[in-house]
Amino acid sequence: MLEGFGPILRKDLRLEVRTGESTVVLVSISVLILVVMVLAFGPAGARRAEVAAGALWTALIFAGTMGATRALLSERESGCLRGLLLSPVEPATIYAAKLSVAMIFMAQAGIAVLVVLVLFFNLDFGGALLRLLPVFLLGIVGLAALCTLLATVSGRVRAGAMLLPVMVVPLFAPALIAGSKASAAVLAGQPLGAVITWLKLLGAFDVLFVTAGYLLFEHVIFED
Amino acid sequence: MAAQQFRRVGVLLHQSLLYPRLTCRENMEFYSELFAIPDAGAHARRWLERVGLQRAADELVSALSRGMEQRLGIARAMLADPDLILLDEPFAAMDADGVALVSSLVREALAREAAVIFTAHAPLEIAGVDLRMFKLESNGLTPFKDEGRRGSLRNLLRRN
Amino acid sequence: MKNPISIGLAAATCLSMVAALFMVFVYVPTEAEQGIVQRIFYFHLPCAWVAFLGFGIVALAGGLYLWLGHKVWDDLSYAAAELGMLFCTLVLVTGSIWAKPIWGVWWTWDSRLTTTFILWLLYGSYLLLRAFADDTDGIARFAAVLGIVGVLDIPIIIISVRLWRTIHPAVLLTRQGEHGLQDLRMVATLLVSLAAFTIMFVWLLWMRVATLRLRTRIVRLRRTLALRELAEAHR
Repeated sequence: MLEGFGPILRKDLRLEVRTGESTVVLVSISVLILVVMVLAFGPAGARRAEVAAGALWTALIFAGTMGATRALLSERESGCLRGLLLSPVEPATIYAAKLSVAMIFMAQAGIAVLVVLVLFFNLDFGGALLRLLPVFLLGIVGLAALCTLLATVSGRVRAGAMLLPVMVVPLFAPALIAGSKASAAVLAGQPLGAVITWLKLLGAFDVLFVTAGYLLFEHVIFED
Repeated sequence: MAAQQFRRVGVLLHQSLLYPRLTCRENMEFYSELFAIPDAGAHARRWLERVGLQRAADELVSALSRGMEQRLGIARAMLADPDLILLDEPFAAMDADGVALVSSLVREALAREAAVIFTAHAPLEIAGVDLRMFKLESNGLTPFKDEGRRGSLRNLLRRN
Repeated sequence: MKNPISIGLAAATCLSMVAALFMVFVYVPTEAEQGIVQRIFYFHLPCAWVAFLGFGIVALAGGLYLWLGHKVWDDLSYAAAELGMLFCTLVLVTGSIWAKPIWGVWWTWDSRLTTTFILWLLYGSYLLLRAFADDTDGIARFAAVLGIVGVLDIPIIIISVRLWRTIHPAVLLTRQGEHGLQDLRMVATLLVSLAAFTIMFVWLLWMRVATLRLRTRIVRLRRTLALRELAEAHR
C-alpha cells in the first residue's frame, strides 16, 4: 500500500543533506522567534515555564508551516510533482512521505529550540525535558499532518505561502492549547500523569488529521 | 487503484520532470524505484548508457545542457517500458545524434507494440516508421496531408 | 426572483421574523436578574445556531462536491460560508453587547466565546482563501477540503477550550447565563426566534446560491464567446 514511500523519503532527505537549506532556515527562524519571545516576556519570573512553553509552540507553528511548504517545494522545480503523479505511486503515499519529511524538518527545529530554551531559561530541565518528548512528538505529528495537507495551496493561489499560516493557526488551535498547557505543566516539574488529558486530546487530534489528510490529499494535489 | 494505470504510460512534457539538484543517476534510480522496477541501480545504468549519458551519470541535472536534459527526460519517460508513450516535442534541442537516438527508441517501442504519440513543430520522418500526422488546430485535429486517411486521435488510439 | 420557492421563503421569513420580534420585545417577560438586556439572548442564540448550521453545510456541500463534482455544491458551500461568517460575527457582537452589563467587560475568554471566536477565524481563513484564489476547479476542491477539515476540528476545539477554561477558571464567569429559562413564555419565544432565523438563513442561502450560479454561467458564456471569437479571427 505504501509502495514508493521509501524512495520519496530517501530522495527528499538526500536533497536536504545536499543543500541544507531547510534545516538552516527553519532552525534560525525558530530560534529567532524564541529570542523574540524571551526578550518580550523576560526570562525570569514565576511564569517562566509558561513563557518557555509558549515560545516553543510559537516557534513550532511557524517552523511547521515553513517545513511543510519546503517539503512540497522540492517537487515544484521542473514540474517534478507531475512526475510523481504520473507514476504508479498513490497520492496518499505521497502524502505519507511528505508528512514524514515535514515532521523531520520540524523535529530539527524543535530540538534546536529546546536546546536554546535550556540555555536561556537556565532551567534544571533534565527529566522534564525527557517528559516533554511525548508532548512534543504528539504535537508535531498533528501539525505536520495539517500543514502538509494545506501546503499544497502554495503555488496554486497568489500569496499561497502567506495564506498557509492563516489557515493552519485556527485549525491547530485545539492542539496548540493542549500542547502548550501540557508543556508548561511538564516544564514546571509535574509528572506526565498530570497532563494525560492533554496528551489524549493531542492524540485524538493527530489521529483525526492524519486520517483526514491521508484520505483528502488526492483532492488537493492534482492541478488543473 | 487509478495510480496503477500510470505504470503503463510514459510521458515527456515541456518540463523535464527531473530533479535539478539530483544527479542523472539519482534521478533515474529514483524513478525506477517509483515504478517498482527490480534492481533499480542496474536498470538506471542501462538506460543512461542507452541514451549516451553514462559519462555524465554523476553530474547534477542542473549542470546538463538542454539537449542532454532532453535525452534524460526521454529516458525517464520510457524507463518502465510503457504501453502508451506521450512525447511533447521529443526532437526539440536535439543534435543529429539525438534525433537518431530518439528515432531508434521510438522504433524499439513500436516493435514491442507500444503506442507512441508525439508532437513536433515541423513535419518529419522517422526511417522505417509509418507516421500518421495531424495538424493541431483550435477546433481539434485534422489530418496533415489530405491523402484520404481521415481520422481522429480517438481512431488512432483505437487502432493501436 | 420570480421563483415560487424564493417568494415563499421570503414571505415565511417576513412572517416569522415579525412574530419573533413581537415575542421578544412585547410578549416575553423581562428576566428578573439581568433585566432588559437579557432579551438580546433571543437573537444571540439563534445566530449561534445558524452559524454552526452554516459550517455544517460548508462541509457537507464540500464533501458532495468532491464526491459528485457538480459546481452547484461548491456554490452552496461558498454561500453557506459567507452567511456563516455574517452570523458568526453577529454572535460575537451580540455576545459583547450582552457581556458588558452582565460581566462588566466586552470580552472575556469564556469557553463558549473562545470557541465561537476560533470558529470565526476558521470562516475567515476559508473566505480569505476564496478571495485570493481565481475561481477554478482546483480551488473549489481545495476549499471543500478546508471546509471538511474545519468541521472535523470543531468537536476538538470545543473540548480543548472547555478544558482550557476549567483548568484556569475565569474570575468573571460566575453565573450560568442562559440556563435560567424559568418561564414557559421564554422557551416559546426562543423557539419562534430560532425558527425565524433558520428560515431567514435558508432564504438568504437560496438567493446567494442563485447569484453564484448566475456568475458561473456568465463566466462560462464569456469563455465560450472568447473562444469563438478566437476561432473566427483565425479564419
